[in-house]
Amino acid sequence: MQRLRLPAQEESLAAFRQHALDQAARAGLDEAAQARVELVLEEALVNVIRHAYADTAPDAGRPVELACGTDPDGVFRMELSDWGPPFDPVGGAAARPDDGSPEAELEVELEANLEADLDNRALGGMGLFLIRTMSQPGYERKAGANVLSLRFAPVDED
Amino acid sequence: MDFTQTQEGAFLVLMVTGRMDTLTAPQFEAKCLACLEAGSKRLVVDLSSLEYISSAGLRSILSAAKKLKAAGGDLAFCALSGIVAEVFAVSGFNKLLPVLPTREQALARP
Repeated sequence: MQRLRLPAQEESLAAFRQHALDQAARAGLDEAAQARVELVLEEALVNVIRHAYADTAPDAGRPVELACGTDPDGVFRMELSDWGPPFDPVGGAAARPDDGSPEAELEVELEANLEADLDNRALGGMGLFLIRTMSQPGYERKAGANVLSLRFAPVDED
Repeated sequence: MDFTQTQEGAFLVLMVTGRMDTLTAPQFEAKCLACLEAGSKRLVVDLSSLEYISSAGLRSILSAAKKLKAAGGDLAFCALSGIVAEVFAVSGFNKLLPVLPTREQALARP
């Protein structure tokens, strides 16, 4: 996989975007799929930039690493790693709606928000929703890192 | 992100060009609020030249739409394509706000 490691700050967004788009084009993704890659990457990176190192000293380096490649089944995959405290951004999808966990409650709120009218619709929560709609995300805590895996299986256009 | 504005009867049409991402999205809400302050309550936003939108753009749009509604106005969109149309569809914005295929249809609303 092709790797790029930069500080977790907004100034790094453009370089990560170019890296991902180059790799997606090399992997043969069409324009629509490349746009989904770009979108999911921005949402995931912004989460890391805003939250992963919130409780870390400013001089601690705060790295974030993007790796891109093609899985053995031919699906394009990005892997985003940070070294902040353990946090699973996509755990809500696996939580049962009625198990009372914070992840499940967030999930219920997200679903309700999609149906809300203009007066009641909340401003937040859309980033994670877009990640889950436009990719197949997975999370692992590996060797002190949060590793978010984002797969882009071909979409059936209908 | 760049804006071109033209008055069309009761509506102010805003043509948006470029990208609405984390870095640029706040400019959209600021532009809408500047139009509102200048007396335009009914905005039609032409997105035919918007190349890209992320959740930061949705957030900026939603915040602007709430404020225009509170002032007795509205915020409509037209001519979406590509990833912009896809993001509006999956996020439910097509149902939340007036989203029309063409500028003519957006301007023909009561």
